[in-house]
Amino acid sequence: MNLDELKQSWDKLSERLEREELLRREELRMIVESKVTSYNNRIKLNQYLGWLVLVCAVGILFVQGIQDDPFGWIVIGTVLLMDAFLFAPMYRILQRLAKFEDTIVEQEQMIIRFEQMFVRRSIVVGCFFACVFAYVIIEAMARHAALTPSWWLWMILTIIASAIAGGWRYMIERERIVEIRQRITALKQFEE
Amino acid sequence: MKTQTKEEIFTEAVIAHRNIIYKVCYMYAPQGMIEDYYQEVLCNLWQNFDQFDGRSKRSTWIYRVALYTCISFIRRKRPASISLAFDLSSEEDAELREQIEELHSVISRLGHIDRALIMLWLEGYPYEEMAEVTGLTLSNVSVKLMRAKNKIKEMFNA
Repeated sequence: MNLDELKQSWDKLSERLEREELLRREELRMIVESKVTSYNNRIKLNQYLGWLVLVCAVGILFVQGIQDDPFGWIVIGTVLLMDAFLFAPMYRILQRLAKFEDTIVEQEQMIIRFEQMFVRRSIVVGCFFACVFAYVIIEAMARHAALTPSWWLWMILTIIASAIAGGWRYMIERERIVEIRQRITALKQFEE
Repeated sequence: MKTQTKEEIFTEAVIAHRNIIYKVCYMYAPQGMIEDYYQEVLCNLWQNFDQFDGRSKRSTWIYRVALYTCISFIRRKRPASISLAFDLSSEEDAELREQIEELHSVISRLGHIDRALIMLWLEGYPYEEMAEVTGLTLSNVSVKLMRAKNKIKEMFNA
């Protein structure tokens, strides 16, 4: 195949598509009239819902007296920090992506940044919940067995749990990581 | 004379350019996800329809939104609710299917931006419109397009 043949194939595809009734008006009307929204908008909605859940959860915890437990403050603080540093930049990128105002190169750079943040967020959140889980388990063990766990046991278990959770998240996101690397390489080649 | 509603104008515009959208989605979407990409493009077109100011051609604007949507498509779990009627599984279409698959395999090996430029070139867009769609400068378009074509030639020679 050469470039001319490539163009011929493209033209044939175009001709063939012209003969098809590819998209029916009813389906298009459904998109317009129904509540089918773009993925970006659904993520934005999830963000607002997430904040609502967080506010409610913090409220409930305060009613139950979490202010007396330093660990509770650590959890709340960490969640808020995670939202500020991990989630908020992602939502900002999504809002900008949805405007279609930038150049194609900037669009590509933004989506690569978004995907990188997504993977990092996924691993960090996994580690965070592993830490909380490890803490809760040790607390429960201590209560039932009347043990006083030393700080280093807590540290070791937390590190192991975090490593497992981080590794597990990494494995889940491996395909995405490979794709991000390919996109970065292609973008660098384009910009050279 | 009856005035067209926004919905009607939108429907006419999309129906007129539905094949452009399909081709862009076909070249970017992983296997089995064309419908998802197509639906996302339609949603974005509808949501941004008021932003079209008429300074460029409608086809240019639709191409831009379709390309940008496909480039920035984020994986999701919920599948699309539309189904596109395009089937090349019959015996008569065997040759065409083979050609289109080869076309796809060549173009999909390019980076996302090179892919966009090659598609615009295949579609027969002049450099000015390519620049308008991609936001690149004219000189950039010509240089980068030449390089993308060379990459394809290298693929053929390899």
